[in-house]
Amino acid sequence: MSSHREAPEISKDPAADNTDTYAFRSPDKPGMVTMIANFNPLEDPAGGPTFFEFGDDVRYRINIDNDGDGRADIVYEFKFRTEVPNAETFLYNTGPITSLDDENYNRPQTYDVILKRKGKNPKVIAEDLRVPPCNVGPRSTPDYGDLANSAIRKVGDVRFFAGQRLDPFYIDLGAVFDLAVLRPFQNLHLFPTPAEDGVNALRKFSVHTIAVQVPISLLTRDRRRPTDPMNPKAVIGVWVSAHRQKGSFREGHIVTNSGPWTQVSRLGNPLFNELLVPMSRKDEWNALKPYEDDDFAQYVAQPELAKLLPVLYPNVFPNLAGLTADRADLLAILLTGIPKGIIPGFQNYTGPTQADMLRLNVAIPPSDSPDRNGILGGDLAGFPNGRRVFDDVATIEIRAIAGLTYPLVEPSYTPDPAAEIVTDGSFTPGTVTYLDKFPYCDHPVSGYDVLPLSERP
Amino acid sequence: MSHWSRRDVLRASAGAAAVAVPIAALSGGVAGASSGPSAESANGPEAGGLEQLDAEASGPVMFMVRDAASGTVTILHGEHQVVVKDRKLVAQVMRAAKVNGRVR
Repeated sequence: MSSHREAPEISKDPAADNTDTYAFRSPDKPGMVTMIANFNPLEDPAGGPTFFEFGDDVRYRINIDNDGDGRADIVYEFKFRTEVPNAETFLYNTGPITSLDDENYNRPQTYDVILKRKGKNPKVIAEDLRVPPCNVGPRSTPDYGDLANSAIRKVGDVRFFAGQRLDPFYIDLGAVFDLAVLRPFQNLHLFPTPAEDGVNALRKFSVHTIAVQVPISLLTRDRRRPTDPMNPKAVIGVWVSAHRQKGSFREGHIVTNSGPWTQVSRLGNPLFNELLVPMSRKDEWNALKPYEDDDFAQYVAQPELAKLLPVLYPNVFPNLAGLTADRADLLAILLTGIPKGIIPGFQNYTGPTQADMLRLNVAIPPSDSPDRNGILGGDLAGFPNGRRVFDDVATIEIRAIAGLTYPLVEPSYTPDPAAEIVTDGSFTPGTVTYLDKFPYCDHPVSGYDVLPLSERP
Repeated sequence: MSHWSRRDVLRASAGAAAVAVPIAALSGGVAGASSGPSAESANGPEAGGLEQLDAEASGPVMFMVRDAASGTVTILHGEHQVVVKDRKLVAQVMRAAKVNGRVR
């Protein structure tokens, strides 16, 4: 998955497990950038009676670097509080929940937003914003769409939403982690099986989303809205992190936390920790800041998957098998950004500091006809120029690792034909749905309505 | 536990913080005996708050002695951390941790 359960330690801490990070110019409000941080992997919609929620003991941060040093210049920090109004019932809700302050809602969460700008004191910019309940079912959460939409709040020029959403990411997990089965080459695998359509293993599952929509001029280095994509100040780096306090002390059911907030999860580019970092270093990577990533560049320059593909698929990737040079294409895409002169009309280079961040050139306007393959599909507004909710990042990264992007830095290299058609295979039109406006991630399926896993179409 | 009090620990940690902050700032925040939050705060707003440990503040105090021989104790309070090198304090802690003559 992009970063669902991608490392041993964080897989045991779902409330702090960042599953995906998105950053894109808002198609319906092109003067704004939307940044989305998703948590709580693989929420089964029927997961009651204690439905999913954010952690009161976790600090969630959306980090923006606007000068290319891999350090945050702007941080939006989210701090949650949970109440239990009725202490005498086991119920999540004691009747239908028809508004965010409905007395029937017995596990209400609120949150504050703290804005931290480099060189300035932290400032609370929003207080007591409400989180909608999970989508329990038609009796408990009727008119869920209206209920959830009422949790979208505008404070100044900035919009916020925090709550349960349908997971916008899609991937064929069962295949990818069964020794890198890729569609449509199952029959060519070292351990062949008949070719079949891909399966979106995340279909109908939910996540907990934190979304913020900010004017471009609040994010750039010079506080302006750039129009020239070649302007270095047009590129921002975005990543998400989750933090817990250093000390934890248990006495019976009481847990006391103390000390500074220490990072337990982070995510910039999708699949970085999951697909590139070896198992023995995944927890370490989660605790580091992006500016410390140069020690991990070796795994990008010589990705393990690029060595495995020719072995797992004999005779399918012969050119990739002969590609032994460091992958300057992947180093640029994932760790420094793509310099100008490589792709006509585009750059998202942030300088020599190697740091895993989504790099968004905010001077590139939203696409009128978006391609889910992003820049590989000729759409400069898509991944790896930031990341939109519908971008097929699994396919894009698999193709890139398979050698499709290497000619960007070495024109004499000819990618294997397979690199152009290999796909994760999980995208099926209509099976993953989105909203056309903030927060762009669709409403979650209700617990009552969800089908057993084996019967989900 | 009778040889020292919570106030003693707070006083020691507050004193260490007052000295350690400029050292951490000068050294880029990697000094051995320094305050944790100040080490991060030099790196920008992703770090924790900038307030000094308030010796009179309420709330629990936690500490950890990873290596008693070094005389170093890490003290957590509120959203802050200080690392104190105080052999006497650590020796008192280790004496207090002994049960039937052994550290359990």
